[in-house]
Amino acid sequence: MTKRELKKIVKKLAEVSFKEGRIIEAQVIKSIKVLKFLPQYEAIAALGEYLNSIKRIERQFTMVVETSIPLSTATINKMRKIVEKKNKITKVLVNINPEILGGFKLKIGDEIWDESILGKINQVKEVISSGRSSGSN
Amino acid sequence: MADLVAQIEKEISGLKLKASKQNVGVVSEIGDGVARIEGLSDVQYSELIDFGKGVSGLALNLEQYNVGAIIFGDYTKIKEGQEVKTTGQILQVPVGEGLIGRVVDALGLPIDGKGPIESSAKYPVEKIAPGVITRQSVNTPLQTGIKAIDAMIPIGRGQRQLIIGDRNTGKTTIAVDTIVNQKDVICIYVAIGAKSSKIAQLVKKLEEHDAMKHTIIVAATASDSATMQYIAPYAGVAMAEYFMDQGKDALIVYDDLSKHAWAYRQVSLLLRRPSGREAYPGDVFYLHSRLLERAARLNKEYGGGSITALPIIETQANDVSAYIPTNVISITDGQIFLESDLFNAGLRPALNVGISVSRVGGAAQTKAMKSVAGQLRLDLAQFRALQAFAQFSSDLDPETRSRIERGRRITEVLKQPPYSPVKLEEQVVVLWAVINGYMDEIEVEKVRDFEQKYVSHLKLREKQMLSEIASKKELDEKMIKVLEKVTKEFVRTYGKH
Repeated sequence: MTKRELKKIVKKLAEVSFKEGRIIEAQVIKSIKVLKFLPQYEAIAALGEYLNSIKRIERQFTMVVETSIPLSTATINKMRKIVEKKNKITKVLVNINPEILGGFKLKIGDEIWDESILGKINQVKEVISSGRSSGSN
Repeated sequence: MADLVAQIEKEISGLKLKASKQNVGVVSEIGDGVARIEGLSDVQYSELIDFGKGVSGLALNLEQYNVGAIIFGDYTKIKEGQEVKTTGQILQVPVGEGLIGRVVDALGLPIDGKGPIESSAKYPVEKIAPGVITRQSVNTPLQTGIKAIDAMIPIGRGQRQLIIGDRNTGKTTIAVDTIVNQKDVICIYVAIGAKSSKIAQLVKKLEEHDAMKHTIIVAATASDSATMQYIAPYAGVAMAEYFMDQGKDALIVYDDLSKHAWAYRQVSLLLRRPSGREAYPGDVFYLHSRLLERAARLNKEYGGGSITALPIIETQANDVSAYIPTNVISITDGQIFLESDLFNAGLRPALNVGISVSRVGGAAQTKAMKSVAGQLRLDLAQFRALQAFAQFSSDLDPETRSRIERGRRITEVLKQPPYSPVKLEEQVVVLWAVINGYMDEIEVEKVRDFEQKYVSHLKLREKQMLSEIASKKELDEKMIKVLEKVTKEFVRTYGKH
């Protein structure tokens, strides 16, 4: 089996391990059993790739909220409802990061919406620095 | 202080802050100036990406779930698992008059300790070369001040002329001589993989000859990362494009493209791109062709500016048929071939006239130079043919002997020390004198002395005629008659000086 064919199979197995954004445990166990039947050198690479694919898909259905202070469950649920109009969410993670000073950051998959005070300060910083000379010694 | 606060207030007064949406990824591998990033699904090819802490990179490999990027700056600050953002921008460098007289790195940041650079604009490092509609053919000469080149391998503004030869044959000297000889041309010298000490020496030499006031040096030294060495020539040509767009003439020297190809090979192998001949990636030809294609002569409608490129290639044991030399030879409009044998024999510049060629420069050569160059080339070619033959024969007929003697004198006249460019009118009169046999009676060892005194004599006696040659750029009948008279007189009195 070529590397490309193996990648294709792993990708398919990872895709069927999810239903409506939720991971199906039984399907994961089944997929691992299938991959274990491969020759050892292929099985190690394939299992690593499978794990990465699972993580990648899971990230697309996970909403990560970063705030400077803890948010109430009601607020988080409200956020989730707004986001779910466009994107299916199965998992919500909340990070407390005082460094963002205020506001929040929302991450889904590869996308980040920055509504933090730190982000706004950085926007002002960019405007000021772009209006000045580019060089420094 | 109050002014500064007022200025900042003014700058941010109309600013509307909005929620920013960013595409992010996570560093999965890092090393040797190259990073592999998971995510960044919206990144574009050649887009600038932000690693944070002032480190940026360039996305070069876009795979299904991964992005391969080269890093500018200190990559040791980057950690595995670190977040990376797209910026929606392409790599740009500062351009403008503020850069003239400065030494900058491949990102256009000053490294000469003379403070920040005032630049009005930024130009993209990667840009599509000017198209057919915007161009015109080469028609104005770019005087190098080197007799052998200006006469036999002329360079026109907008031309790409390769300087090729082994190490220590005077390649950089030719390029620097050309920079020293320029008055109205902005020069950009791009040093790739050169020693910092060499760059310091070069800056000193240019300052000594008052040439730094029209020169920018873009330095990617041997201690800089391969990524910086890879982008340095593109940054240099972006700076030159600014002047071309202003309708000015620019000259860019790439010293040297062999090291540039090495840097690109390193970057490509680290990015896990498939390797081809001599482990270079498949697009090593395009690497140089897209760079040199940006040298152009724009037509009047587009400002009439130009970029002349002098790429340098270092050969191993005079082998011009190696991979990179053949690539660059085929891209350029001619080559100046320097040989170590000639260099060791005392011929400076060590030019091999036989295989050096300029494909388009002839169209740009002045009438004055054309009137002497044709005969010069012919005499020299006959000399080379007869010289080989004369080695086996002791008894030569007078005509053959006279041709050989003239060839020896021509060779002597074409010798020129570094950093001493000769003006066009002086070149013309000296070459006119030698091809018309006025130096035949002078001993070979005294030819250079004769040349010096002859030019000084003409400057004293016929200053008007010399300035006329310089302005009209031709040698008419009247001038030739005056030259004949003055030269005959000078030859008669030379021994008595």
